[in-house]
Amino acid sequence: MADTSVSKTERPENILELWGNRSDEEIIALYFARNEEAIRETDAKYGRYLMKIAYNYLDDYEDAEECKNDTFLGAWNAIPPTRPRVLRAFLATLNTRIAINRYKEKTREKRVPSAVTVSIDELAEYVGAGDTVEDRVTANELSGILNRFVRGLSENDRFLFVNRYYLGESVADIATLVGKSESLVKKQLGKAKKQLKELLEREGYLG
Amino acid sequence: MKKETLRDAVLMLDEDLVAETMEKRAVLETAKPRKKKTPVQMIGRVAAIAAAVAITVVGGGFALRLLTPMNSKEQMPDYGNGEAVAEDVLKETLEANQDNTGSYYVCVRFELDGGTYEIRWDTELPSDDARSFETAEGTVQPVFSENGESISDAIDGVSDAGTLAVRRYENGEIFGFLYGKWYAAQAVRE
Repeated sequence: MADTSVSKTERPENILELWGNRSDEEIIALYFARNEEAIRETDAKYGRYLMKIAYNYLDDYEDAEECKNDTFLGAWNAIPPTRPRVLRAFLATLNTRIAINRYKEKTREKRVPSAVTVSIDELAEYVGAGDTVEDRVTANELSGILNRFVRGLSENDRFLFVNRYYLGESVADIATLVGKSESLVKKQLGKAKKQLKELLEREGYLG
Repeated sequence: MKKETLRDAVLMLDEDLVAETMEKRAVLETAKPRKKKTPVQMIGRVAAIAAAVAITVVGGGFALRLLTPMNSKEQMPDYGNGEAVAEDVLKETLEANQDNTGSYYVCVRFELDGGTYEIRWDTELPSDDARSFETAEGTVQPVFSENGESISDAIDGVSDAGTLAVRRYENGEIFGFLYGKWYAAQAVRE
């Protein structure tokens, strides 16, 4: 009689091990089929990744978890008709938007000591922004300048700048991501910060 | 300007810039992790680009040429510690320049006995790739090997090595520590 048993190594101990192995195309197809397994598959494959991004803003696991779940809901509502070109990037962008909204709500009440707060504080201190100085510029006006500045950076510098100051990634993590040394990443970020400071000075927003 | 204003402005980054970053991240995060180059690989890489590495006295009329790499400091001749004539100068002196033939080269520059020395490796340009890299002297246009690879990686490897040590011994022989290895060096009159 043939042995039909499945060896322990072949059989997952946990059903979750079955998830997370589908390709992005298969997951997107589940969304299009309105199959709720799409959410479980997305969670298994990208849940931790999205949690990390949200945690950089919120410094709180429960908040990050809520952001992740809101991201799944957002994806469920958007796909279809949207067919993400890169599912990972689509989810991360959605998750970031949700995390930023939550971050803004939280910071209205108190300072959130998250990675994003620390990285933007570092930038603010470098360019000479303070806690007590009078504002002569609105966030909207300044964001226009910042967007133009970021667009003017080289592709490489732009990638580093957005990761560090918008996503709150550590220099060490960015260095690992781009396969460069921390010292080189620090240097390149330092150059971008210097350029931003010079631009703000030229435009009369500092000093 | 208040910190909070800057923070709010940063978080209002345009969606397309965020999406661009996320897509690039997705590519990098799902790619096979890049293996950090070992010093030996760096030597091979630089050697392939340059064919030779030399310490050149700028305007001095003679050159110090790096010869055989040693496998370890222990394999150096028993000269004792020698006189350390240049230590830890690498990070501050990494530069890229264009020579009088129009070729670009990357060098490590240090001073010794009033002379300025360079460890230099040459490569070919041009390339219309817009990438650039930063040095102590400011932003420098990219340097490419013949097969189009950016030499920025080589520079990164040098930065990782972290130290350039040059030692001179009583008999006049000089050893340089570069890319994590000791190299015998020789003064050559030009």
